[in-house]
Amino acid sequence: MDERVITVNMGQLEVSRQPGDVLAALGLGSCVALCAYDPALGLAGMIHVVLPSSAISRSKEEGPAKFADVGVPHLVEEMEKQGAIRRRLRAAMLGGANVLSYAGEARTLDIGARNAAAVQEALEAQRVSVCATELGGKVSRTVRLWVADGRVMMKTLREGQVRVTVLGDENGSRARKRGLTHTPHRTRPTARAGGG
Amino acid sequence: MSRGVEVGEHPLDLLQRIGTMGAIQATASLSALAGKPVVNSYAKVKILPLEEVPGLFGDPEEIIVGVIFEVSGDVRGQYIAAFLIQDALALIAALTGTECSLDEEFGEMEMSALAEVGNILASSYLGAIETTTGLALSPSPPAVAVDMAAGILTTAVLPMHEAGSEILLIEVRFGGPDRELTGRMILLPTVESLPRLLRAVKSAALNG
Repeated sequence: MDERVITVNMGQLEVSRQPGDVLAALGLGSCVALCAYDPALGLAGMIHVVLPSSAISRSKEEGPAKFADVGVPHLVEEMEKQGAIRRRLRAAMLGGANVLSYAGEARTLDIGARNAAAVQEALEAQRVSVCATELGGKVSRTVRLWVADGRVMMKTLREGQVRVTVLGDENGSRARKRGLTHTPHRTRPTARAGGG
Repeated sequence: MSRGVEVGEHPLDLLQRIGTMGAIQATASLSALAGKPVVNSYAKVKILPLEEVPGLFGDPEEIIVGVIFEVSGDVRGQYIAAFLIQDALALIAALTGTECSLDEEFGEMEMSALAEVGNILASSYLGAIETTTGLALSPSPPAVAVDMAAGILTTAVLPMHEAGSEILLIEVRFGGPDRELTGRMILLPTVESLPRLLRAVKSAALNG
């Protein structure tokens, strides 16, 4: 079965229950990708958070998940519309790095750390349980979430692609039990230099 | 009245002039540094939504070297010099005489060579604007990063981003005659600094 990669751009929200889909946020620096999964439905969602608070927003044209404080509840809401139950949701959050280290004192705010804290806070308020976090540090991350089993993979320049967690049940999500899914996807060998 | 600037010249054209001024100077410095001719092939003003910044180098996961400066003085903003990784490696080789590859993490010498490339470009580019306009633009010590384009560029741009506003950037690309070296220089003035920069360029053009 062909995989369909859905890129979740800055400020965007995507929800899917198609087992062939993979949700992906590419090259996150200070941004945070929040992955959420309802294992009983095989329903996956991802937001690509850019800034912590909507208080500074002056436009209605902003993406639905640009800000952590409104993006997180929005994701939960969208998943509930498709039948998800909040207490079943499992989440993983990745990103919030500070990739620019200035010689001398840093003059800019660490937006990554603020994003990570804001997503964390919003998840607590939504009472969604967090299974895995990969936050902070100094490197950019690409995050992929497989709808079939809730697998979360992270790719960095130095370490290539590594598995972070599986948000689905150990013995497969309901979607898989119904035979809707394909054979497990094998991780591609890690690209070396300039792996893109 | 001087005919240096057409009446009602568009602000974007003025910004384009800024890009060209800075580019000529920086290109000369880069040629000297790289030991081969570098052609200033492109200077363009772009106004983009924030969402397009990760794709400035094409693939958001493209590995680039970014040297980023905070600019203060009469004009505030960010200045970014960025190269595809293979071009950055060639520049390091030209500067230090040592070959290195991406397989090993860059050492202190490589990172400081890259910072030096950034310093030379920033001082040529910002210096050209200072000379022409009489405005003061001082770069901070640089941040050097080797990473995916999306991560570096968005992190550099976000502090300049006013929610809901678009990103104004003055982009210069350069390359050798055989495209041996391609890179970008981006000057991102803050929203508050932009009118002052435009006024100064306009008056310099009228007087020049």
